[in-house]
Amino acid sequence: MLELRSISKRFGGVDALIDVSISINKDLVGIVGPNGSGKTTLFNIISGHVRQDRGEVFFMGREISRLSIGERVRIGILRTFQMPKVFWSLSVWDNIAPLARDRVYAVEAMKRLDLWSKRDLKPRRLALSDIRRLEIARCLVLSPRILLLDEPLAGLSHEEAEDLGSLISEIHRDLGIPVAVIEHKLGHLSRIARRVVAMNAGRIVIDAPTDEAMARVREMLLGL
Amino acid sequence: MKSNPYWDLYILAPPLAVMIITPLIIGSIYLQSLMILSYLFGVIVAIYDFFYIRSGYINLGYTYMVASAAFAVAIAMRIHSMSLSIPASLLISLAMCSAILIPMLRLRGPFYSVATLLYPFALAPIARLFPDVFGGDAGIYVRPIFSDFTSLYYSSIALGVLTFAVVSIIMSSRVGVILTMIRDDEILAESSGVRVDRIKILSHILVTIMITAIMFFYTQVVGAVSVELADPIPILIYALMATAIYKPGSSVYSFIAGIALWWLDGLLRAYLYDLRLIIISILLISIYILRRG
Repeated sequence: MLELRSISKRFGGVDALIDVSISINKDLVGIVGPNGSGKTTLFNIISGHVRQDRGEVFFMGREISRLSIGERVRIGILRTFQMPKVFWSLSVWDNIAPLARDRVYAVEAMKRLDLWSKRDLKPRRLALSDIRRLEIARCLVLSPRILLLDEPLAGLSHEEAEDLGSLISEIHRDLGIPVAVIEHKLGHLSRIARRVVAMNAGRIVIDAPTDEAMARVREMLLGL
Repeated sequence: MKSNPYWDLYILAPPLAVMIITPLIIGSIYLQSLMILSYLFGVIVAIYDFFYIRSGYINLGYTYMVASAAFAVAIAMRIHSMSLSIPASLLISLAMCSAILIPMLRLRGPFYSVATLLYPFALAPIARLFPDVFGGDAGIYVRPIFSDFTSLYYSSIALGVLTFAVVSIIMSSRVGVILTMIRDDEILAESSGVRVDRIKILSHILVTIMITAIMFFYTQVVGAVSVELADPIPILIYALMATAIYKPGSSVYSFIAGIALWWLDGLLRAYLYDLRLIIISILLISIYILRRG
């Protein structure tokens, strides 16, 4: 479904990504790694927010490196951002409804993300967990074929992270689409991801089923 | 609780009532002309507020668009058939204003604003270069269409009301919400599937059509068009001041402020000409310091 071949990206004198190759099919993939390891740059390249220096990006068999952000959205590549990004001066409803092909999809997405009762509120009056949900709801009304979630659980309490993690897992299962999640909360991630990719200094250092990958990540973290 | 998007329109009632009764109590055509010019200026400011200030794209080349629309009307009025001159004026206006699309589709923020500011400055030399088309420094005389001033006066008022109705419909429509999305975060709007360029072109076309219609009446009142219209000072400064008086996008308030500033400019020109720019500068700074929203 999504395939990155030998992607490299340099910012100034820093290598953000070095010869990264990865493919994501139907899985819910967790992406972990320390800050600055290249996780968000990887998402930015997939979504078209940043252009790679070298390498190619394929989605559903088509080379998409030259497509704009909007064109990638229209073929189903949807993402959220590390820092919550919503339309702050619009209500929850107006954040989502005008983007949906049919209002039914907007209602459905809001109900699924438990935002229906908050539809008239502006995002500033929402809790962070609801803002994260709003970001995901925005993606859902746009008929995603792949979801890229950048630290959706960051800043949430244990319970909120647990709830949202389950919801992400549910969305992955119900829609049958691949989901890639960048996350630092390894415990939550290991409960929902089937596969984990670990990055360090712009390279993929581990790409394995969750249990195996987590064991190796712990080994690396503990220096064993 | 959603607010009523049409509520602000009630604020239009007092100035509209004044405009409607003016010809009944003031016989002077000169004063009526001033009233209608200030009214049309208020509408121009309201459009600017809605489409540029509200969307966050501060188009400093707006006076170029206003002057281009006026020239388009004046040039097209040389054709004696009205059924041809109206579409011709729209086409000429769209062609001239499309030049603004180059920075509009490529630039954002202050880069966009500064790039658009160059347009009004470029219009005067171009107009002088082609005096047969633009009439040179003297400008172009515009053929009168209305048989009497009263019908011109009330038609202008009707056009203003129609413009507000269109703006209100757009404001509460999907396009209005999408314009707000673009203002809030253009990258997020694009990442949400909004065809940002398409919306920008659509709003630009709408603005051009509205301004051309307004300039049709403006040129009928004034009787001539010259390159002075493109001068960013004071028109652009007044437009910016008027839009800053209340929160961005509150077109109705900007309309009233636009009328007030137009009259203020007239008074300053008559009585304090040398101090005019100083007073306006102090006012502009004060408004931006004290403004709400």
